[in-house]
Amino acid sequence: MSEENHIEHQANCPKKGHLWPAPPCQAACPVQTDARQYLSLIARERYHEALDVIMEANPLPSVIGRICAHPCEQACRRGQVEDPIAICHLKRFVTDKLGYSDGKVKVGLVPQTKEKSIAVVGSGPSGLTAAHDLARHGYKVTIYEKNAKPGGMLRYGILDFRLPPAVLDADIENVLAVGIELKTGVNIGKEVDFQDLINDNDAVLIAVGLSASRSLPIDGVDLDGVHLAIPVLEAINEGQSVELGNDVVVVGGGNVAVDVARSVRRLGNKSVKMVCLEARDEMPAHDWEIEDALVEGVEMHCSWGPDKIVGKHGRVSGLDFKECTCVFDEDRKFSPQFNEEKRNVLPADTIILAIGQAGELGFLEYSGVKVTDSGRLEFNHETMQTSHPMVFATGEITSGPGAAIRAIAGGHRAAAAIEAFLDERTPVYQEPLEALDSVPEHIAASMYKTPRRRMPKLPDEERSTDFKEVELGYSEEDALREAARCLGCTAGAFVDESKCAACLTCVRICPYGVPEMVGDKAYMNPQACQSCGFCASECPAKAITVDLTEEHLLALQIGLDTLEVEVAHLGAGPRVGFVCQFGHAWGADRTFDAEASMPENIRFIRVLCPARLEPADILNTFENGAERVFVTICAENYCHYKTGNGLTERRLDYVRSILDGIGIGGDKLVSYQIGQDTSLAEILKEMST
Amino acid sequence: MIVGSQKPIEEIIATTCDYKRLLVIGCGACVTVCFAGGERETEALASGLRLAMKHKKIKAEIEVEMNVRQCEWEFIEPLADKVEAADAVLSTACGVGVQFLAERFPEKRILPALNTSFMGGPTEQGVWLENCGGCGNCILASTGGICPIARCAKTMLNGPCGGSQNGKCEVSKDIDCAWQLIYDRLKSQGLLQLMTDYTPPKDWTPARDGGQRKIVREDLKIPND
Repeated sequence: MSEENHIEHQANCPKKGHLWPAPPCQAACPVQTDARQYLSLIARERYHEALDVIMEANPLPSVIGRICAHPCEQACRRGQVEDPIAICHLKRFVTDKLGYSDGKVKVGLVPQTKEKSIAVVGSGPSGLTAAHDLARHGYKVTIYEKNAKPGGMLRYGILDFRLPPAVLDADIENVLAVGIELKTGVNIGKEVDFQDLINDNDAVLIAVGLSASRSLPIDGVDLDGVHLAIPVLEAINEGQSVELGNDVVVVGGGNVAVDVARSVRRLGNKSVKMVCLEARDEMPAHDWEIEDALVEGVEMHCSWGPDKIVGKHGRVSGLDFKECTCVFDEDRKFSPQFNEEKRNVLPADTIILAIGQAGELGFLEYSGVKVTDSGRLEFNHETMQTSHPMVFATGEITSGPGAAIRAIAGGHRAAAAIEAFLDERTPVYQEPLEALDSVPEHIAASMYKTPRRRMPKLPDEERSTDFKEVELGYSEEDALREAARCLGCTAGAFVDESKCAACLTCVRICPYGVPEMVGDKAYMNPQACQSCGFCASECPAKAITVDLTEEHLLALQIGLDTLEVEVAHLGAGPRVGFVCQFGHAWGADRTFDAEASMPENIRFIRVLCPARLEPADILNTFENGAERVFVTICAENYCHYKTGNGLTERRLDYVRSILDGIGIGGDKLVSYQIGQDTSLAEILKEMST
Repeated sequence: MIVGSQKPIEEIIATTCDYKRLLVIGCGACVTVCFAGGERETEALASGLRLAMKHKKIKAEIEVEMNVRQCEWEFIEPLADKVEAADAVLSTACGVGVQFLAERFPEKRILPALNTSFMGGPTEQGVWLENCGGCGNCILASTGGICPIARCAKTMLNGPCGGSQNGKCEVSKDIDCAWQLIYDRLKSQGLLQLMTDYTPPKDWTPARDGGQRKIVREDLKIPND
């Protein structure tokens, strides 16, 4: 590394108050969720803290943990060498594990501290998020929803097998619980005049989404048996009967089309075919949804454009279509080209058009809020204002169709804009983050590889028979193993140059050969650093820090204070186990039953490799009341970071020598190398006496 | 650099256990690099001492302070309040640092935590070797860059002696014979004739025999006016 680059990198060190490049997952997330942090917390079984981290950015964690398009995973650097981390599944795991998605976790009321009030029209993800932000900041917020229940397209556009209504209800209940008033079944423009909202509030937010399906200007769309996608989805979601035939063709290649197709498959023994302009690899629907649809028996007919709907006696009998040779022009603009010579007909008694959505903005008539001739809102992306300064807008009505997490990001932005407007200042929005670049090839080649945990799903044969949730959620073991795959991008190591003694220890100790000397100071390239923390725990000057490693010690000290008293009657004092959370140190019976029956005088401190522990960490444990301490290390040749076993063992020897000298005895510090046959239950039994 | 190692903790406990408020001061220079008295080792030592006091059921407050270099007055000075508040100070610096503290705070009990051993360097991570005896009159030019003052058990100037066996010193099979090393080096350099040059008895006055040594550089002194 050149001196110049080094200086630039060091100047960006977060420890000096500047920004280091962000983990790519966080930079890719529209709401910049600190996924690295919550994965690390999950890996150490600190689920409540993980949920707190998730909810800093996202008020609908159970929902997003199920349906997110997860751009974070596309950006994940583990994806360079094998499948990326299942960040979305892990988010869901936390909400399920804690009962948040079941409504068992209740959020408290935030007192209203400000006089001003805001009306939000629409209770989809953007409206809920904006309302949540504003209410938490003390404003009086009322949401107006035209449907009987809140959630917008989350409720009426996404089917129960992807997002069970109880899960949506649980999230929304907690959003509202901060002190938001919700008025459902209110059609603005009918029951309540939009002008009244402007008159009665200090700001109004339009977050109505795109709730109307677009139709197609082709012959036959007026025939019986032709439906628009959204009303069909709404009806199915509401449990209303929908008159559909047995040969159903869904026109469209987006997520709504796939959702409709999968839903209709569940209504009985129907043949469901999808026809779309795009080639299979161009379809806008998520790959994983398309794969699920195929598994469930939906047929795909790609690269075909509908020409006309044919019918008999006023009812649909089939769809005529022609080959689509190209969907987009050179500028990636929608400009489909067809081969008129190549045609096909699909017999059908039902056709569902899922070719796009539009907003319903009729309520804005005479309100002073301008709508363009093409039916779009006049909207300033910088201020989030419409043509009426008091009226703001967000969500798909401003950005077009997109992922729910994007709508949530829009909700945050709208809330920030409204607050700024009410405070008469310029809005301050979340700045985009610069993402850390890819893992250098030589480092990637030496990384420990461990496959992504598969999401358990309903058996194929059960799927098309009802609306039960298809994805069943990770087990705790799945979640722990998956979370431990995270590379901890940009968590460190950071060198405090004022303390670096240029001893070269980090250069010698790093299992990946990352540290280098730049002048007389050590430097770790964040692109290459695997955040194992070995350099930090070995550095004699304590000049190196790695995030994600230190805070567990605090928990330890708090826990031990009380434990010493609690177990006084047992005759065997507190024992502490530093337990490696990488799967290779789990042994034969790492069932959670073993921990459920854990002796009451034992506490675990979960670490991602015990070689991160300094001698003082272990001595502090004794200082704080532990009578015996044990450390689990991985089976031979299975250290996640290559050299952790040896480092740990020799560090434990050093601590034992101190314990011997003190008179406590080095035998009070035990290590267990855990192999496939090792029983954790036996270790716990042995340690408890 | 100066290389030292921590005294056995039993010895440190024996010298410190009578003090209720003990300040442990680490040093960020040589003893950090040789893993004897840097922040990492100082904190571990302090933790060990607290644990020892707890084990002995003695109530004691043991605090840690770090210092850039204990052998500079300016770096010591900011510690004055902490030192005054303590009953005793345990220094994890080399003997130089301990003496600087003792001189700055003459009324305070200043105790050494290290045995300061030699001037040398690491041969590998975790192994340090003595290389220089600080004799004040360097002869490395004639010995192939290998110091017989520091590395020969007898400090011979015209070696080897009869105790050299298979390249090892008779004192220990783990110690290389310095004169064997000198011979091999000079031979590889084609300078073996240097071995035949007689080296007369050394004047040890520039070494410790001349009393406490002092180097004065008038050109570097800060003028009084």
